[in-house]
Amino acid sequence: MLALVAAFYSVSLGLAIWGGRLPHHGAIHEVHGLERQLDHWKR
Amino acid sequence: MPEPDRSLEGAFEDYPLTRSEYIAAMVHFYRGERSRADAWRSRLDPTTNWAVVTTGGMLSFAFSHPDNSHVTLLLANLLVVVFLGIEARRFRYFDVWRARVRMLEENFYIPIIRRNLVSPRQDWRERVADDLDRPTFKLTFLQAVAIRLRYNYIWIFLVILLTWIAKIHLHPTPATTPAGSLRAPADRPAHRLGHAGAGGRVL
Repeated sequence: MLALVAAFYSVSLGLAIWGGRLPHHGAIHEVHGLERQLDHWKR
Repeated sequence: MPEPDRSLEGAFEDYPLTRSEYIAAMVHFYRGERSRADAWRSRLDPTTNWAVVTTGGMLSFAFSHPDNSHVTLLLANLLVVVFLGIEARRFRYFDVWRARVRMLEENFYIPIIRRNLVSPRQDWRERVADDLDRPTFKLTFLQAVAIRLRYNYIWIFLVILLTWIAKIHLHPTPATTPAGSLRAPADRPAHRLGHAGAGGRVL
């Protein structure tokens, strides 16, 4: 059970750190990361 | 620039839009997209509320009696994950409208406000038009989960973790050492609160 809890929280923490680094704020026309979002507009 | 003679009105497409007609259409479009973004943004709060209330209820139950199992708190995690999934789905929809709103603000309104009619992104009209033709999500589901986790849910999970640690340490009888928290109740030293204890084994 302890291993399950540790695994769950490791995955959660990893996802949260990744989520904090995702391009989410700022100007869409700027290059830092949000440019990647623009790829979705083309689909 | 003189207004075109429309006394002999033909098909809509027969006349080019005037500048004022174009701006009026864009303003209404912006307000509409803004309204959609606001509506979906307001749908994000209820799921967070559900998660907080559920967590509070589970904590209340788990600590209401020493014999109530600590597994209750771990099950709270599962429910919160479900709410996180619902919220991530809603966030993806919100992001569709917000992306359009930001595209208009950056490329339509900023040049007007600066009185320098050069849009930062030259192809923004084609992109917005394509997105109207075929709306697409701008985030994957996993990205939406990660963002909501970062800004809201990680704190709820941490609260559950801390209270779970407190629960296994205190109940059914207080452990004397941190390692003692992981022992089954029967293996713990004589209890001080008078409870025989029937909590589950952690290890």
